[in-house]
Formats: sequence, structure tokens, C-alpha cells
Amino acid sequence: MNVTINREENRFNVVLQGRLDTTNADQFQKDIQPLMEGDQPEITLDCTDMEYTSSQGLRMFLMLQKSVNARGGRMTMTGMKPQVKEVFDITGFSNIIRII
Amino acid sequence: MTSSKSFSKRLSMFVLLFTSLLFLISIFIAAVSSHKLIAEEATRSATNMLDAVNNEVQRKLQDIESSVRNLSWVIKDNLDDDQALYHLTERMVRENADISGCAIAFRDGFHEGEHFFSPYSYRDADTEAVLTMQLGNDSYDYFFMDWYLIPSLLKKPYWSEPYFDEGGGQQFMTTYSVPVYDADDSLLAVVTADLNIDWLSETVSQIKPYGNSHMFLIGRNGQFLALENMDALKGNSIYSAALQMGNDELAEIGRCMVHGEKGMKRFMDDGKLSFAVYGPLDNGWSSAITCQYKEVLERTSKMHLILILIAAIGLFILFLLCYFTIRKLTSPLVEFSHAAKNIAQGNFNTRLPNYRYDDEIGKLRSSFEYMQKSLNEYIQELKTTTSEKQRFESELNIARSIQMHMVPHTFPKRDDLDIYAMMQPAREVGGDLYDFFIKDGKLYFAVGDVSGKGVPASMFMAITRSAFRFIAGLGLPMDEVLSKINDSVSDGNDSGMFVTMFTGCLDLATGHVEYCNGGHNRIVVVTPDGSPSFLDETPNLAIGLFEGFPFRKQQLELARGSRLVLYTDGVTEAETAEKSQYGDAALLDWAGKAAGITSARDAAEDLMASVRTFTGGNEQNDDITIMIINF
Repeated sequence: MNVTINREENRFNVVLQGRLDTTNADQFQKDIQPLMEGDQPEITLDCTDMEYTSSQGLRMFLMLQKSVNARGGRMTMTGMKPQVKEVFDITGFSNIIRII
Repeated sequence: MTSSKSFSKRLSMFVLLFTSLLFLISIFIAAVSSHKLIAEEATRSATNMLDAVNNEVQRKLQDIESSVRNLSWVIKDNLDDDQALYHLTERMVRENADISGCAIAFRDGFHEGEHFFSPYSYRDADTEAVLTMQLGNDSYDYFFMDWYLIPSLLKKPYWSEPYFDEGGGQQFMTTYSVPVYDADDSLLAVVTADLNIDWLSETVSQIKPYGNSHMFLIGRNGQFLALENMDALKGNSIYSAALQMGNDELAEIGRCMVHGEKGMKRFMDDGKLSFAVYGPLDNGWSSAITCQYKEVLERTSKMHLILILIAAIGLFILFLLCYFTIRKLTSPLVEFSHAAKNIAQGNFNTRLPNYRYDDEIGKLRSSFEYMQKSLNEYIQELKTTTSEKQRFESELNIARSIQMHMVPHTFPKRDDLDIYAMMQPAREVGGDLYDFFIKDGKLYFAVGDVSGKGVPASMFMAITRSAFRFIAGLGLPMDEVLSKINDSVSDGNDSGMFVTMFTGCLDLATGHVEYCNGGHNRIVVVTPDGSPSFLDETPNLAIGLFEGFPFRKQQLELARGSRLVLYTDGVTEAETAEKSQYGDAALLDWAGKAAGITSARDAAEDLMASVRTFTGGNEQNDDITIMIINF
């Protein structure tokens, strides 16, 4: 999983590339640590090149969403591939994370 | 031990070789320079010797010259007295041991008109008696003899070339002639003295600086005058001798000597490198001494031999000294190697040999000590870790056993129901769960999947499964069951863990199914005619995320002969090594093909086999759970 974070004040543009599975979930958690700080963050996760996410990965997105909610910010995931979107739909994550 | 021996031996040999080389070089240099010095010294001493002999000969010749000169004065006073003249010659011979004969040869017609008049005395070789006579007669016409003719023509004293006196006793002679003139400056007589030069050979044969040295004298024409073993060469010249021997160098020496030069030259004497020093006498003679280099250097060669012997003994002692010193110095290394072997065999507390100096070996010892200590610590740590790991593993095994016993393993045998379920964690314990029970003619069933794997997931699984068993048993509608389970696990769930879960309730009498999906994979329904499809579901939300989430239930009427296939994403997301997934299509495909397998258990095992075949031995990376319900 390749994580690229571009920050402009409280706006974060994050590009996610590759697979997010059990083997790199811990690394991913470290990679998104910058997103866990600051008030009222506006986070956009570009998922155009995200190939796959495991349930472990879903948990990471959930934790991030919860953190963003607690700090009064907003998080949006964009460009998600159908097979990835399906996982979010099945688990109901589409209901709690804004996906466009 | 062998390695240490060879080390000290090697080092000693090296030192020995190096020192020997130094010794040899210095001995060689010393030998070369001393040879040069000694050769120079020998040349000098031979020259001195030559000069001494030359001086002695010279003195003797001068004695004779002055005697003859004196006689030439005296005869002028006794010209009238024949007897006196005879007496003079006799006295001359008698009183001069070196003079073997003396003559006063008067000019033609001087004595009473006689053609010859020459009083002559000589020493008889055998009797030593001095005999006197008149020398000239018709058969001995002295006017044509060299000893008379040459000085009278040259008008000055003359030493004759040596000659062999055939008449007077086989002696080797030379004659000194002095012309005497009267008042008119016309020749009166020639006064001569014969010098026997046999003694010269004796003298020179005693001049032997070295065993094979020779001294010789040659005359103005190169004729040998004196030489050891003179008899063999009597009458020969140095040139004829050189010619005989084919020795050009000797001939060259002869030439230099005849020219009256003084010097030193090298030549081969009897095949041995030699040198000759030579120098002239006043009368045109020349003498030489030859020495063989081999003999000259013999003494120094002996000295060098002694030097080499001493060096050899010294080197041998040095070798022994080196060898034993080095062996003593390196002996701790041998002990270290023993200690290292012992340590390698696992005796970590092997005592290291004592060594009190802080040198390289001392440093090696501290390194050894450090290594020993580190090894000990490491082994201790390893033991602790291993025992901890073992404990952990045994605990995990117990946990697995507990987890496995939390899900039902006995399956009811009924006419109206065939149910089978299997669970395969990716690790010792997993986060999947399934459960079912029959109550009041209804089958309550659930399949769930906790996010993540391992121990944390297994604990969450245990909580969820207990909640299901309790809450579903209350006979509530499925949406409420999931809501309550959600509320109970969401409460205090800060870890962000969640569980996807499908719960259902099948009325075994009617085939009516009430179900609710908490974010789980869609289940597969196979109709009695064998066509499979995913069940249309409202996904709701995974459990444990938001307390109070409003779950919605759904309904389904199952025809008798239908099959439900429940599973976790371990099935559809099973991967090959190339990360290609089993997928929904393959699952649906399998469900269609396996419709003919009537036994729920056989079908479940067939699905597991299908997944395993697909992954082709790639390591299972997620827990797998399969539940088959045949209605």
C-alpha cells in the first residue's frame, strides 16, 4: 500500500495505491498517522488505484472516520473501484463513510 | 598443538632465513673487501721483498764494480811488473768470495811486443784453490770476446750477458769489464771480474712468500739469470718459456721487465690466477716474484670459514631461542583454542586461561571473555524466550481448543434438516464464528467474521458468539437480535474492531426464513432445481461500530429441497500466490455444480477442497468458515 499525503493547512489530499491487507495494515496505520492530528480536518482519500482492502483495512478507515468525527472534520473517499466499493457496501461502511 | 608448533616454527624459520641472509650478505661483503685488501697487501709485501732482494743483488754487484774499478787504478802503478800483475789478479779472486775469476787483458802488443798478455786468476770449482795463468793465446783470442770488445768500443764499464762457463767448472757466470786508458786516452787494458751467479738462484729460491711463489731474475734480453730449479731452464729466456707454456701474459710480463718497468701484472700460473711484481736493477736486469691468489687468500678463506661456522652456530642458537620464545608466547593461543572448542561444545562457563599482559593476546582474551559473557546472556535470553514462547504456544493451543469448542460440533440428524459447518482459522485462533440451535421448531443460525485475525479477533469472536447464543435464544425478531448484539459489543469498544454477521431463523415446518445481515457477505441460495444465486440483502452495518444502529430484517420463503450456503470472506478472498481471488463468480459456479451433492457435510468439504485447489498450496491468509443448510 502506497500512501501519499499532500497537506494544505487542514486540507489533506491523500492518494492510496495498491492493496491493503493483513500484511501491511500496521504500516498503513503508521502512514496515516498525520491524518489523526489537527482540528476540523478536510480529508479526501483518492482510491482510484486502491486494488483491495481486507477487513483489517476497513477497521483502519473506520478508526480514521471516528477520529475525524471527533475533531469535527470531514472525510471523503473518491474514485473507488467497484470490487472495493462492494466490500464497503456489504459491510455497511458506505453508510458511515462518505464515498463519492 | 600442531598449529602452534608450525606457527612458532614458521616464524622462527622466517627470522632465521632473514638473519642468515643478512649474515651471508655481510660475510660476502667482508670477504670481497678483505680479499681486495689482502691482495693489495700481498702485492705490497711481494714488492717490498723484491726490492730487498734487488738491493742485496745490487749491493753485491756494486761491490764487484768498485773492486774492479780499484783494480783498474792499481794496475797503472804496476805496469812494469808482470809478477805484481799476476799477484793482483790472484789477490782479487782470493779476497772476494763472490769473484770466481779476474783478468787484466792488455791491448795487442803492450807486453814486450806480444800479441796476447792477460794475467788471469780463477777459483777452481772443485778444490777452491786459486789458480793463476796467462789467458790469451791463439785458440782463445780474447780481443774478439764480448767482455773485451764491447767495453772497449763503448768506452765504459759493461756487465756481460750471463753465460755458461764451459771451461771453468760448469758455472753460470756474468762478467764485469772496465776499460782502462793510459795518459793518451788510448785503451790500455780491460779489467774483468767474473761473477758466479749460481748463488743468485739459491737466494731467489728462498724468496717464497707463499708455497707456490717464485722469484726469478732475467737479463737484458730476457734470459733467465736466477730461478728455482735453474738447471732445467739454463740458457732459456722468459720468452721461450712463455712460448713453451703458450702463456702470452707471461711473455707480456717479460717484455715489461726487459723495458725496465716496475709494476704488477696478473697472469695464469700453471692454470691458477696469479700476479707478478717486477722491478729493474741498475744494470738492466730485472727481477720478479709471482704469487698465486689462491694461496694469498687461503688464510682469509680459513678465517671466513671460521666466521661462517660461528655464524651458523649463532643462527642455530637464535633459531632455538626464537622457537622457544615464540612457542612460549603463543602457548596461550593454544589454550584459547581449547577453550573456544569447549565453548563451542556448549560449555559456556569454560575457564579462560590466565594472561596478565595487556598486549594483543590480552586483548584477544578480553574479546573471548566478552564473547563468552554475551553467549551466556544470549543463551539465557534464548532459554527465557523459548520457554515463554512455549508457554505462549501452549496457551494458544488451549485458546484454540476453547474456541473450537465454543462452536457446535454435533449436527442434528433430522428428516427436515441437514446442517453442517466447518471453521478453519488461519492461525491458532481466529476471528470467524458460526452457531446454530433449534428451538421451538425453528433453526437459529449465524455466521460471522471479526475484523482482523489472531488473539484479539478470537476474543471479540467469543464475545459476539456468546451474545448471539443468549440474545437469539430470547426468540426476538432477527433485526432486534442484531441490534441487541450490536449494542452489547459496541459498548466500550474503543479498539475499532467490528464483526460482520449474518443471522437467520428458519421455520422448519414452513420454510419461512427471517434474516438480518450485519455487513456480512451475501449468502448463496440454491433452489431445488439446482440454480444458485446470491440472496438479495440489505447490508445494514457491521456489528460493533455504532450503538443503536437501526438494523432491518428481511424475509424469504424456502422451498423444500433448497440449500443455503453461508461463508466468510476467507472463501471468496482466498488468494493464489499471484493475489488472484476465488471470488463470488467461482463460488456461485461451485454452488451450481455441487447441487448434486446431497450431504451438507460432503458439500461443505467439497467447497473447502475447491478453495484449496484454487489457492494451490498458497498459505491460507484468512480464517475460513462454511455452513451448509439443506432444507
